[in-house]
Amino acid sequence: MKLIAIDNTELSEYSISLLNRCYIHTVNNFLNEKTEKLKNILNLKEEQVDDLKKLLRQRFGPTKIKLAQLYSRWESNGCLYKTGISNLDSMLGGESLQSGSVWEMCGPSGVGKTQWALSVAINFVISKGLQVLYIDTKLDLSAIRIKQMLQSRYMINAEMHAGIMQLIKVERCLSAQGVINMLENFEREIEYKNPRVMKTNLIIIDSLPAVWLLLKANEDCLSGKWLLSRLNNLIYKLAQKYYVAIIIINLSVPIIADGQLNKNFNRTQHGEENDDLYGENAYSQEIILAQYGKLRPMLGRYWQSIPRLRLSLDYGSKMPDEDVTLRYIRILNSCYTTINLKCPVHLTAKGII
Amino acid sequence: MIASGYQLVVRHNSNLRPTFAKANFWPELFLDDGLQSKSLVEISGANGSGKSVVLFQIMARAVLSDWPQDSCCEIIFIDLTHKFDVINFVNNHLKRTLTRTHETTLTPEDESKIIQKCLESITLLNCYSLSQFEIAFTELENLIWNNSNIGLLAIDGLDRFYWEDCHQHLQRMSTYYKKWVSKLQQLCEDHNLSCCFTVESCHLKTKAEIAINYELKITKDAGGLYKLNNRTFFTDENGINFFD
Repeated sequence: MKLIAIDNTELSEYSISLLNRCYIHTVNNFLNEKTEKLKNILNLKEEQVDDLKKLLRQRFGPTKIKLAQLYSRWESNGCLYKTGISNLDSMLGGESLQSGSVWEMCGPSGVGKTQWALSVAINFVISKGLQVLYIDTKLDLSAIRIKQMLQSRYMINAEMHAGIMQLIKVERCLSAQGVINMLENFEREIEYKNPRVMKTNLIIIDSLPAVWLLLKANEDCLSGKWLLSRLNNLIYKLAQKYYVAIIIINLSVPIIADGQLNKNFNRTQHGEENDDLYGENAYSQEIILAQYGKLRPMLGRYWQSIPRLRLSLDYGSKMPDEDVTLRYIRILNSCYTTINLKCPVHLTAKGII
Repeated sequence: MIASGYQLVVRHNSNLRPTFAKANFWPELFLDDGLQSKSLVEISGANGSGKSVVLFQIMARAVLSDWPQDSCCEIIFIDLTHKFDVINFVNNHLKRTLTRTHETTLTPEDESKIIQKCLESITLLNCYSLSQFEIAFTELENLIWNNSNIGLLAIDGLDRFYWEDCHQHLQRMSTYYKKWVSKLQQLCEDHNLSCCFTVESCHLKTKAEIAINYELKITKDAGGLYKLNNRTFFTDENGINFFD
């Protein structure tokens, strides 16, 4: 973290330039430097230097809290929202959608993941009256479809449709860096207590592969991993610090049957194995097939353990004479609940129910 | 030997720290001697194998160990994976360990008091970036300096910022791992602490020579059973149990 000037302190632009001349460029350099040396460079008293160090630690350092305090904060600020899809909520039980959750929904292309995300967003707005931030990276979000879903739900008056749609804030984004910038802006707005964002308690990112796939080529591979790492830290910071629930849409792709990955993706520039699902540290192919079936979530090994809860949406049946609206939601991974449970849902005009 | 005033005070405080050798909270893992001071415990395994569960169990057992009256063991926990859920920690780790270790049934009030005391003994540092993690080490020095009851440092996800660090300085996973473990080793030596951390196995492939005192490796066999150091285990309402 680069050293920057802080208003109303001794750390002015002039002080920063003096420090830079002595090769003190980052916050960490400053904190690790001896107080005596900093006193001489900045021409300050020892207490002033200690105060500056304390301020920098508070501003840029880790958040520090006793578990007792954290426990009482979660008891008072944490909320259980529920998805509004009754079979899914029953299956998840106590682990239903709650503030601080980071969920992932994955599935094959066209199965209805966006429909599921829209259904959850609408149910959330209707039940809690809170805002949803919907980050659309595929540019296929349709306001007409949202209206259609609302119109199909006869319990909702037509006068309420506009109000509900107003609470679903859509932002479009075409790059991985763009998604990160958007979330960082959101964090800044929440810190400044901007009323526009204070009521946002659910963020949906639809979908990550649409922008991260652009970084799959070897020369961009490291950037892709770095951005995924930043995204991971950012979403959990938003979830834990501001009690926002986050849902990420991911794609499922076929596991290559013979176990041989594309060798272009196996090595990074510095020789580390990348996306090595079948390496000695991964489970055997049988276990991957048992856990994920013939499909696996995209975005590589690093992303595998990031969401607290990973669900998959699968087709019930593709046969023309069977119920084509039937889908199954399965728990693939969970930190705190039993996995491999599944429940039936239907894709209708109302959305996923 | 010439030592500074700071070093003398650190040495003095380190002798006052609680040690786990006398309160052996997990003989199956740490044998008869218990977890020794100044030692490093490495919990490794693939993604989703249960490393964090083992770490949280160690934390729960350590904080609930039998300590002499008026003393306690405090823990600093650095969460880098952000999977830690305090409500789940209380219900699945603290309460279950308490039930398992107490021969007599506790009243809800007594249980609540003990849980509260345990929660007050654990300080959580949440790091959301590499620079925050680097600053956390400075913070650690201050915390440890001011409190001689701290006996254990727990870190979940030591490898988490590898890609962020790699973006600035290209390096092997083992190089990154060695850098942080060396810092932890120095910290434990100076302050007479023990340190437990989790790391993904892929960071240990070309492992440089680092002296780890306890290596806890979690693997999964073809039958889907989990093994901790080749001993099959399962989790239930009593926590982690070994089959044999």
